[in-house]
Amino acid sequence: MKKLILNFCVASILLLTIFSCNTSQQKPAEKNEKLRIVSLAPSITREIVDLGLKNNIVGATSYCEITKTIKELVIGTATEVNIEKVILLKPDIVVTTALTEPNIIESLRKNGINVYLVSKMHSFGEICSHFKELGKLLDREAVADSIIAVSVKKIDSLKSIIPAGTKKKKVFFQIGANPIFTVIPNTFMNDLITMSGCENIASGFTKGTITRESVLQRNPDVIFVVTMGILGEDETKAWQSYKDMSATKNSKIFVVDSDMACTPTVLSFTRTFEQVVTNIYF
Amino acid sequence: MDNFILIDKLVCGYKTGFRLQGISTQISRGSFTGIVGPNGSGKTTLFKAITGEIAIMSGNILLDKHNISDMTSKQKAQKMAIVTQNTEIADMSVEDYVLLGRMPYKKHFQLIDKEKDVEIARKYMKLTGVLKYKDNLMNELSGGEQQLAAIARALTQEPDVLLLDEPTSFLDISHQVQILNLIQNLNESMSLTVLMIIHDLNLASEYCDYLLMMSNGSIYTEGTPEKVLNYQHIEDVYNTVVFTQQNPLSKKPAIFLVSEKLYKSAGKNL
Amino acid sequence: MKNKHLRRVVWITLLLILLAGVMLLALAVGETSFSILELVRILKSKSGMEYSIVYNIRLPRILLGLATGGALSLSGALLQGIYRNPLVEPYTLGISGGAALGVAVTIVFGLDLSLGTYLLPFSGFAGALAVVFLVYFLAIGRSNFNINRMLLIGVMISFMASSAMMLLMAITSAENLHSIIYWIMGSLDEPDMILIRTALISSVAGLVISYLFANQLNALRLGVTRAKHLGVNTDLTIRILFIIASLLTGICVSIVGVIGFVGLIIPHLMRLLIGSDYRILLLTSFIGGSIFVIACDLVSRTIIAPNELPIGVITGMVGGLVFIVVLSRSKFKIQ
Repeated sequence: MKKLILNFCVASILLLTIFSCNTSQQKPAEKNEKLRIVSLAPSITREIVDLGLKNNIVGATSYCEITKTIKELVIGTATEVNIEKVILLKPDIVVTTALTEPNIIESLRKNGINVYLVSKMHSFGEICSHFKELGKLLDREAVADSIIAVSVKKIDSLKSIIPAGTKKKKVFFQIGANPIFTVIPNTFMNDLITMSGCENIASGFTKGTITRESVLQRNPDVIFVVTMGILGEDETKAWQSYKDMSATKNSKIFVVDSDMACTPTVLSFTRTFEQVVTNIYF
Repeated sequence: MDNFILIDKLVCGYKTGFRLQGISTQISRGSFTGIVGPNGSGKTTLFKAITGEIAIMSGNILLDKHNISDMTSKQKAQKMAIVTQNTEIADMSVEDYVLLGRMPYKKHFQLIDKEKDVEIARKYMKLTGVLKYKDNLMNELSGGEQQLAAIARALTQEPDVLLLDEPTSFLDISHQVQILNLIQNLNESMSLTVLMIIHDLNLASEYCDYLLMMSNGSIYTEGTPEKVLNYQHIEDVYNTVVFTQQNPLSKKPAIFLVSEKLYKSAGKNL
Repeated sequence: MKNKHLRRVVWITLLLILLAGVMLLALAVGETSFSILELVRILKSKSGMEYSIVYNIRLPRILLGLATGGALSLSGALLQGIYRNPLVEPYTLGISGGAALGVAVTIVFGLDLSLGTYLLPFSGFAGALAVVFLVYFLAIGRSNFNINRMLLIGVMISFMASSAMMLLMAITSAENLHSIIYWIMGSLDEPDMILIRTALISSVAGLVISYLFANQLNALRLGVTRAKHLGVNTDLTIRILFIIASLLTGICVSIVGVIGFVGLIIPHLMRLLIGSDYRILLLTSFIGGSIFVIACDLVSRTIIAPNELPIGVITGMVGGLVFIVVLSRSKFKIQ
């Protein structure tokens, strides 16, 4: 009888050990599916959230929206990165843009961290292809594709309601004050203007600074001013004081939210485009 | 002896501790008074108190029965003018420099020099012999000529009292005599009261009709040169051996310095 | 005497003609230039884009240049007269440092005092005033103040303000940094007519009030003691002139930022060309400064059109060059 009980105990212990091994083997498998992502740019963070991977973000900048609520995620500012903190987080991937200094990227890579660098996007098309790439990287390609498809459809429908046969309107898109900064060609924001069937008054510019006189001289039909905090509020008033300017005469001076307009993501571009088209034509 | 300038128990001084110890004296109108004494005896301090450069701690200074503490800078500048050892010059013409003497009489927005002011300035420039330099810049003149220009400027203030702080110290003998002659002439012809600090006891003896000998912040003795400049006083105050004799031409006391060598050889005879 | 007066009148007339000429040139020239005839036609039309450019953009800049150039030059002349130091100019005293710090604080901490366009000028002026008060009470407050002490305190405060500003700049975002630096470099691009009118009125008022003290300033050239002997109330004169110069500088800096060199160079240039007598120097400095700033602004907005160089760059380089040339050709005396 004693021998039977002893054998039973040994057998149970052995069985239990085997089963627990199995379960512990499963845990690593789950860990592998939970991607740990660090984002070094607000636009990237936005895109990661758009892809449904909000909970996978283990580190973001103080300018990213997500850190407003989850402060522990902060690993730096838009340009500065706390490298040690990033390393300690053991991320699977760090996604960054050209805003981050090359030596920070070098440093991270030297420490064996996988850094994915997103280059500057010069058009809406590039925003889309980049988003698709990001989706692929984070195993959410399908989500990316569907977002892109919906947005492109929205944009096409907006384009179709642009009244035909109108003379090309001249648009001035102001993104800075003191000194005045304008949107220039070969940037994604320029697409907002060209895709609306309009012409950028700074179409020949290679640098973004422009004088007030130059703007006035080009007599824009529509002016967009992005929100710039305390400094930009009065730009709208200033433009309105030039009574002979076309945009003033037709009351086509608009304010655009800078977070929405200046962030290179598919969804924000689409939203901005909607406002731009509506403001210009309706 | 009138009390044109009355100094009554004047105490004034500096934070370092040096004080004038309650000085009292009177200066007559039209006198040519010399102030002598060793370095640090308080001569310049006295001047500074008179011009208002340092504050009076106790006592009074009265000019023609008016207390100078009650006078404004402008009023004081109309009554007294001061010429110091070294002329402060600036990048201006001699005429402009002398014309600054009319400052105490200028009204606020008076930007153009009045005819009358220019006349007065030119009169005194002529008197001091610098009229020919009127369009030259001050720094083109020699030291002596600058001093003459400074005197012209002081006179242009048309003061009642002319204060001179060692006006001849940096000049050669010809200029020394020239300037002192000029001052003596002005003193006699214009009844200008002159108060002059001077180091050279012989010059003081020759030109001044009254002397104040100062020592350690108080007046040691005062009176005519004959009374003041004897070897006893000078030895006491200056702590140096001298030999005095009467100047055969002017009958005023003349002071001879005694070198150590001379003293050793002829000591007993002095 | 007559010759001297005649000479001065001729010079002033010449300067005024030059001023008118430069103003006309600045109205006509820009990214698009007009001839004088076209200019007249445009001004008569009172409407249209060209009119807007000339009347609403160029003219305000010219008026602002006139006011600030005149005021800064005048301040420089006054301060050089008080301190009897040729290196003194409105910015040596820390006034611009204080103004810049005021603006930096506002930008970095995002202070929004519901002042709209007037936010930065207000903060700049507040900063400048703070420095003026500090220097005044630390140095002038007592009855027997020392001029050199005042200068040292001003320089010290200037350095402290700069350091504080650099601290702020190091911790703030890139766009704030950009705004601060742009403001510091100076610009006549200010569309608000109220600010422009303030600048004009205060600079002219400053000139008129300074003339009350022209004689005293001449006396001060001999030194404070001598001036006192000549009946000048030096304490009062120095205090009032210091306040005038500080206020003028504070107003200028808060509206257009830091435009350096004007207060230093123009008075010296006018001394060399026309004379050191303050009765003429105050006016010639003012007009000379106006001409200089309007001309530099013209260059700054045309040389890399359609972009604009900060005017402080032009005043510094051109001013320095012109000064060295004039200096090497004549004997230099400043007093």
